[in-house]
Amino acid sequence: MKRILAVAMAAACVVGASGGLFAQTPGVTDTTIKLGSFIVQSGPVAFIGVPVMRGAQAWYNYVNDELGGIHGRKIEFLALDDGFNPANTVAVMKRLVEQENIFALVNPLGTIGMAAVWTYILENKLPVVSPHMNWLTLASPTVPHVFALQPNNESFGRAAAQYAVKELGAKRVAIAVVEDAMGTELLNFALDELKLQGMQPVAVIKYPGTETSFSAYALTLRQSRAEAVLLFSYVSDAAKLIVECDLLGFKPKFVGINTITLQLYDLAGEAAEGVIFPGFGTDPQDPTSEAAAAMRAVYARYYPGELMNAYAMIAYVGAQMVTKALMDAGPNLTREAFIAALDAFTDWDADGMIPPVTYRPDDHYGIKTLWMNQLKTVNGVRTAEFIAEWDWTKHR
Amino acid sequence: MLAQLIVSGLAAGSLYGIMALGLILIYKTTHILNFGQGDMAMFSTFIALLLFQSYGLPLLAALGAALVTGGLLGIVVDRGLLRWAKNAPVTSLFIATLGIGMILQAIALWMGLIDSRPFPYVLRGRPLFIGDVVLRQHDLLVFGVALAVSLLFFIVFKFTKVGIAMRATSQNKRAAQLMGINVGRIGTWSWALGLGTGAIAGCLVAPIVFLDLQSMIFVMIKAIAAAVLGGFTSLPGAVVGGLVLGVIENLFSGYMPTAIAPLKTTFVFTLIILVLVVRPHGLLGERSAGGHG
Repeated sequence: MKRILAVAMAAACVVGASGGLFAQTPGVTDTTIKLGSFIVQSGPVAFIGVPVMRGAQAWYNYVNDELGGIHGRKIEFLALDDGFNPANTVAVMKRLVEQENIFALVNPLGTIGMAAVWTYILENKLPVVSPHMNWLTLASPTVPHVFALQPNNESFGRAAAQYAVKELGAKRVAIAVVEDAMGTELLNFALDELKLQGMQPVAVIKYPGTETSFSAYALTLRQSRAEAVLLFSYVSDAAKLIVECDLLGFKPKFVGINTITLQLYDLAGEAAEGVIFPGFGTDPQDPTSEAAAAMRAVYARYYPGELMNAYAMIAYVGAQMVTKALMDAGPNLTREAFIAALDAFTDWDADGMIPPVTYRPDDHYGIKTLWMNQLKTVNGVRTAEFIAEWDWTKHR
Repeated sequence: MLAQLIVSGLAAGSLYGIMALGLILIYKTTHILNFGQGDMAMFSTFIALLLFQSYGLPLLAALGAALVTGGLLGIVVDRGLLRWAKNAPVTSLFIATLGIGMILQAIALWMGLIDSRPFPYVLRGRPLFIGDVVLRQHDLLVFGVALAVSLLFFIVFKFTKVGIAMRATSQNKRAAQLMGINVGRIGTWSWALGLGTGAIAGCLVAPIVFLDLQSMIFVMIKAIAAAVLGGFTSLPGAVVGGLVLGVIENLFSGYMPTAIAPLKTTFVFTLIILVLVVRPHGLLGERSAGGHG
């Protein structure tokens, strides 16, 4: 009996030391905070997952190594590879919650994985901060413990419609949209926004994602005499359509979404000149930004020789958001204090790296302001030039 | 609008037609439907792009290299792979061609074909205006190539020994063999010519749809449809089928309301089924051909 008691006490001491038994808050001990994530590191989407992982890891390492952690606690960032396969995401989440007992889910990547574990996250009331996805469900309706960061399809769809009407002054707006979940969501928000402005689109062309021939669509657009065309397309389809319109001598103002990048120039050539599209982050290689320079220095310390790209940047900023909230929550860290700290975020912009983020208990939307850019040739160099800030909630 | 839709449709249709010619050529002599045709065309086109962009080869030389790659690929596929499985049922070989396509996709991915790449036009000047109708120079090239390839095939089949041997093989393999035709070699010729034609189609399609791992597959599906429409064994039928398909598609998306327009592919395939009900051998298919001899 004595022996059993001794074993039990020893076991209790071990568990106590790791903080699992006596600590009230999951994942928090006197010396550590355990944060979990799913970020693909293998397969075709790894080209996004690897920089996301590195961006977040660089900042958490820096906080541990240089800032002494958060109120004396070191961060354990446990990001697991789900292979961008929702079935794996389910297994990864169960391990993070049930075995690793994480404090919060931070920097997870990908809508399809998140959709697969969404109910599980709600059931477990697991805090989610800085998710890297444009999924509307994260933000609407508000979930008390989930904080979206990146703009979603509501932002992109409404902002594109508003920008065309209010800023470009278009009286005739047409919409070209790919027939899938993303396109349909964008289309519905844009239609609703046009309706709020008392307008109807002069043409809506829907094309399947497998489309190879865009000439008929370009003709329909030309016939509609649209002044602005909203492009709810992936970059290569957008390029095909723009080229066909250009061929017909039809040159409206094109307003795209965040799928548009400088690659549009490569694909469509001169026809891409003047296309407007939204962004929501400073280029980490921007030579004029001090915040970007500081970020690059930290990144280079942990990943020497690796070029920091936009995926690494948004993950780094997301990690900064997490540590700020942990810091603001105070030394007695609980999930409630963490959530309250996030709910008090006001115009936080990571030193200008992203548009300002404000959270309130009924508003976990994240970035609402989009930075509108335009493809322009400056001194013979094809660039994306910043032209305006656009917060769709302020243009209703 | 109508004239423009028809002209653009003919341009798209010529591409389907050229791609279909390659498919049918292989099918006629080997009775294998090459499901990997799109991927094989993608691969040859990608080689041309690499040679042009990374190794600075002149465009015409790079396009020539695509043709050669297509031909060599045909020889490798036939001699190196399918020949070893010659006793397998033909339907299994269909699946083997699909597998070869996937292998080529993996190789292209490994070689760096990750996202859409622009492919240069051979002719990219000012488009021509005929009244209200716009015609780009590339479209003229496509019409020209479609015509030239069809003529070339006509001459090969009508006047050359290889061509006559191919026709004989397609009509009756055993009898051809008994007449002293090397049926195996004829098969290799068909694969080489078929994939060479595929490479031509790829290089003509890529400037329009850009080059990525999947972009040729959708064109190939249209090419299969064009081939069926034209009667699977007829080379002129493939071209006619392609042209009809391209025009119908364009008219459909041009004139149908938005709610229905995305269903154009559905409409096209429904139409093909109807054609097959009325004319089981397609528009120009031969009633007796297509059997296994």
